[in-house]
Amino acid sequence: MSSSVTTLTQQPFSVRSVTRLLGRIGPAYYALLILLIVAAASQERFLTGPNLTNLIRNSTVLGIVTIGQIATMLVAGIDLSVGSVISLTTVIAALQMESHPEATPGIVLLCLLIGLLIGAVNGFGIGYLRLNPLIFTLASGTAIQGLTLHLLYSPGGSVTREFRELSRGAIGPFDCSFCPGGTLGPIPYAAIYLLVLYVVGTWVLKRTVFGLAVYAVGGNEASARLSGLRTERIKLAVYILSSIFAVLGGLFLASRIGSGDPLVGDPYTLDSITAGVLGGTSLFGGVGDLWGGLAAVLTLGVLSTMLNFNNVSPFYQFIIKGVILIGALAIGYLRTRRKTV
Amino acid sequence: MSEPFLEMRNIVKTYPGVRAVDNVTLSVGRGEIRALVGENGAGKSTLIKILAGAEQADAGEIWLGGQRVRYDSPVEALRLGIGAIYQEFNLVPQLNVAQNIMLGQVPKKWGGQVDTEAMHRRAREMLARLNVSLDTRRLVADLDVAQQQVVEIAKGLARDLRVFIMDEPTAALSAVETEHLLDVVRALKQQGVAIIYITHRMREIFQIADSVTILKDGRHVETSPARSLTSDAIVAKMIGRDLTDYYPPRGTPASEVLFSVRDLNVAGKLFDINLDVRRGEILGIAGLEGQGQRELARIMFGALPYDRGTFLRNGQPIRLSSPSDAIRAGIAYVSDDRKRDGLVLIRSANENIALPSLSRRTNGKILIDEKTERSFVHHLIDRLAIKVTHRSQKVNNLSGGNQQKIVVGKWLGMEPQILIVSEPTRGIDVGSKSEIHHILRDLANQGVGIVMVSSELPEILGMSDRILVMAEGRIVAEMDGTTATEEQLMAAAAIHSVSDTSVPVTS
Amino acid sequence: MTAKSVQSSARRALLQLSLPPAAIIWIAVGLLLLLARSVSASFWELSHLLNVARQASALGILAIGQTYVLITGGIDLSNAMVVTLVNVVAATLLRGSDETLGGTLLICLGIGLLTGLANGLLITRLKVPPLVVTLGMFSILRGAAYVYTDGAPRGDISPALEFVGTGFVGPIPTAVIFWVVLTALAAVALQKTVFGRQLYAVGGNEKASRLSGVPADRVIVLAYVVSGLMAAIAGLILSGYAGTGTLTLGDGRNLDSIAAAVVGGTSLSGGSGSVIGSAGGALFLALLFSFLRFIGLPYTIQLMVQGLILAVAVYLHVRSQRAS
Repeated sequence: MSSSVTTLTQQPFSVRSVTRLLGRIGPAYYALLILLIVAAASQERFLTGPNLTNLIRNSTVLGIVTIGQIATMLVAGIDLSVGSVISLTTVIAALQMESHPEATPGIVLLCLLIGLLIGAVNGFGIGYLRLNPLIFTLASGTAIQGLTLHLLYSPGGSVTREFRELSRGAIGPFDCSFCPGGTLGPIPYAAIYLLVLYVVGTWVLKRTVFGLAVYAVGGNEASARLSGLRTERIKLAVYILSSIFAVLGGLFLASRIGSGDPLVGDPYTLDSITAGVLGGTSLFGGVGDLWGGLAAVLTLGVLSTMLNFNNVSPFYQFIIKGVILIGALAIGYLRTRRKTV
Repeated sequence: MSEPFLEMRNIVKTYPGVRAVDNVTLSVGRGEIRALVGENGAGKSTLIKILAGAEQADAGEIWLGGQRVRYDSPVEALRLGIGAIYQEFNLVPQLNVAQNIMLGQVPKKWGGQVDTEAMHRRAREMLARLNVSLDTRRLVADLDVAQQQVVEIAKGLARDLRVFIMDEPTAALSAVETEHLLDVVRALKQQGVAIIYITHRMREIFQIADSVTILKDGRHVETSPARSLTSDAIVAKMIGRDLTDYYPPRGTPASEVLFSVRDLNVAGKLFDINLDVRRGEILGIAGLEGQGQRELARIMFGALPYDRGTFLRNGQPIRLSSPSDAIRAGIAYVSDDRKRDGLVLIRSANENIALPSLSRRTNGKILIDEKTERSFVHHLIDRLAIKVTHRSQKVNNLSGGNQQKIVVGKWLGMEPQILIVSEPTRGIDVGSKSEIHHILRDLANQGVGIVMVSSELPEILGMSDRILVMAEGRIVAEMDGTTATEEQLMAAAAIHSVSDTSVPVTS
Repeated sequence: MTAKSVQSSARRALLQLSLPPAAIIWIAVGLLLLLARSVSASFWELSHLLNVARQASALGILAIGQTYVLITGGIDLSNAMVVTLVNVVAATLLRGSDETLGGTLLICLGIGLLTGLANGLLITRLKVPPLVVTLGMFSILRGAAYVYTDGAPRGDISPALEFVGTGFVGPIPTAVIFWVVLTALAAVALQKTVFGRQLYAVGGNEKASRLSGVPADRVIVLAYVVSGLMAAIAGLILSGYAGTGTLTLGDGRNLDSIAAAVVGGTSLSGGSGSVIGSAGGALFLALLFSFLRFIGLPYTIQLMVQGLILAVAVYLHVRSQRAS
């Protein structure tokens, strides 16, 4: 029997596989680790509860939006409309809550429905009409930006007091025998949101049939289609998710700033792409995961905290962010370069 | 033959400039193995893509089990039990073996979760049916070509198809693996599956096929029981003409050496390669596929790095570290993959032909002299008999033969002294094939030294003045092209090869 | 059934009208003008039309560079921040007088050139995707502008630059002259030079181009350099119009320049496109905005319409490509 079995060699556990595993860990983890060490070593105040809480709250919006952005990148797409969706959400939430404070849950639902609709339009154009995602979400983003400014031209409106608690609240403190001072926390709600969303998001991407389909579509769309996957439908779902996450980010932001701002979401479009790329997600689809993205989001957060502590003009963070973004991918290339035409 | 289970009636499919499938009717019964043969470009691939739902026919009907069926996607075709494994693999490199085998029908648990255990179990079962043991957790990106082919086949098996289309499933397999596959195909036949089996290998046809359908130029030529046909008869009908007098007469090469390779080595790929290219000769490089010929051709054109070796041009050492170096030395290269390496498909014939020699036709090096260019391009189109409606026609609308002529033609503008061609007639119709052969011979007669890499034995034997045989990265034999025989070549090609000798070299 | 097939065959015939995309956008410009005239004859006053052209000119110049880059199959998001950086640098250096004009112009063009060079080299040498490189560069340049001005831009633009931004030569706005001349030069370079042909070839199939001896890296770098220079020139013209330094002058102009190019028929997948089309795209967008303002729609609606137009343009473009 054994002679007739064609054994296709199985790779043994080796040093090579370990270095490969290390290679697969995105640059974001390294960056985060190094930054954390440097920050903790150079600034006593860094590892204090209030500072960490603040860091997490400041990273939450980007953290949430990045989940959706990574999903679109995994299907070899991109979503340039998330920034305007965030702005639109803050505006609608603030305006509606100001006039109908009693209907807060309904308003949240309304925002999510709007997100669903926007995502459906994006997903239809990209999935079914096969339009270029960059241009199509640029177009929808521009239109949504116009709508947002139409609703509210300069910052205004206000959210309800209870709604503000969503971003400002915390639970705890808890007893914790091995923590300094014997207690842990208080843990901000924001940390819980992030943890829940990333755990659920990872579960969906890594464990479910839908997640497998997302990777398959991004990895080789033709193959996915020939294997019987409804690639259009999968893309539609991904863009709907992206818009919904943008709405969730927008709701958190509205809660945090307490009002609506028609331009406040703008930076999140490019920042979420930065976080995705930095977290090891490929712009060409099929490769990447959420935890790398979260590490990248926190890296950016720690970075700006450090600059603050060291009294560096916050403007340098733009430059540093750009260098990190390009550098992360350049290092990846330098590690694996081979000369071919 | 059993009564028809699957029928394709009067299928027509037209692409710009080509009628790829022209009114083809085909019926296959349950438990029948139908070999589908034809030259590249005969319409086989298009026909099976239509059947598998990956393309839509312009006209025609498909009937299954006596009922007309309509579908316009692979999903719906699969639902009807019609599925295909394709020649170019359709695997997702970033996913593992099991995920690929089960893609599209992944077993589920609660909450839409993948039932990983069941997925791997089922994938292993499929591999076991092929008598292959392969770790189902490995990424497809890490597999070699034969392993990928096995995964592709297992993927087809996992679907319990009623109509199973196989497009050259054994192209990348060793002899042992091929035998296993053929056993599996026979087993599927026993289960009543209707099988459409595309192959270029005559041996396989006679081993397993019940019947043979021959296509040529998109048209149905003949369907007959396999036992009523012979290998020669099939080939003759595929080509539609006699094989004799097919190659142009040889010329008289000079003894002057134009280009030499000395002690070329690439770790694990090429070993101690030495060769001379003489003025006016066609130097054939023969061998089984994947013995380093392709790499050698690319290195001689500066398109691949090498570890050690020197190149002499008219006896003088030259550097070949980029295609520009090679072009400067008068070396041109026609790749085996014209779509990827040879053409800018979305640009015009004119632009493609003019590309390598652009700077030769400028006014003072900046502006292109359009008048000169126009007459240059017209001249080449006439000389090579390239069929275009206008020189501004986009190349992706042309047939394979015309595309290949453009690839050859674009190099003539720089008047190369050495022309390296790799599989020059792969995937083009017989008429164009012969025209390309004549063009190559004409060039040789004008003094160009031609290096022709080919895995088609008749082409090597019919064209070469001198033949070098490669095996496992070495040149293992040199023969006189006028006296060499197929048997000698086969024997030489196989001597050093560990891969099975029964793999045919020619299609 | 028959009605449907008649309809679809009519549609196919329509799609087979093989007009070059560049021509389609100019026809659209004409139709828009006719529509505007039917609403109000005063829209057709020469002074008004020239004013619209002036508004289009900076966008048009940015779109030239963007078109070059898109033809290579790349994208340039950094051009917007070249505009901003050039603007704050020019305002700071000039301080409202022409004394240091020569040096300032040189520095500003140098910013564009170096940005393009850096983009091109990072893309070709380190193989970082263009979207990431130019996005990173966008962030770096924004940081440079903020750090340079410490968040509070000072200074004013000089009279000479104001003339470029707002002045007229005869009846024609100076900016329009710049735009037309640069477009003409860029169009000739694209259609009639070795570089132009190589640009299309590299964008259409980089590998095949390299194997044809095209110096692909050099061609790609040059495209980004052109884009950087065009952004610097657009930045100077916009500075002349704005009169002072502001940190928001470039905002959104990267996406606008992509929109102008795409509306003008340039493909995002590389290998095709034309600057004449992009000029039409820029003019079309400016005319549309002017028309919408003219009929009293606010800026916010204009943005929505721009998004819609862009979506429709890319849809039509994809349809016509699939038909061929």
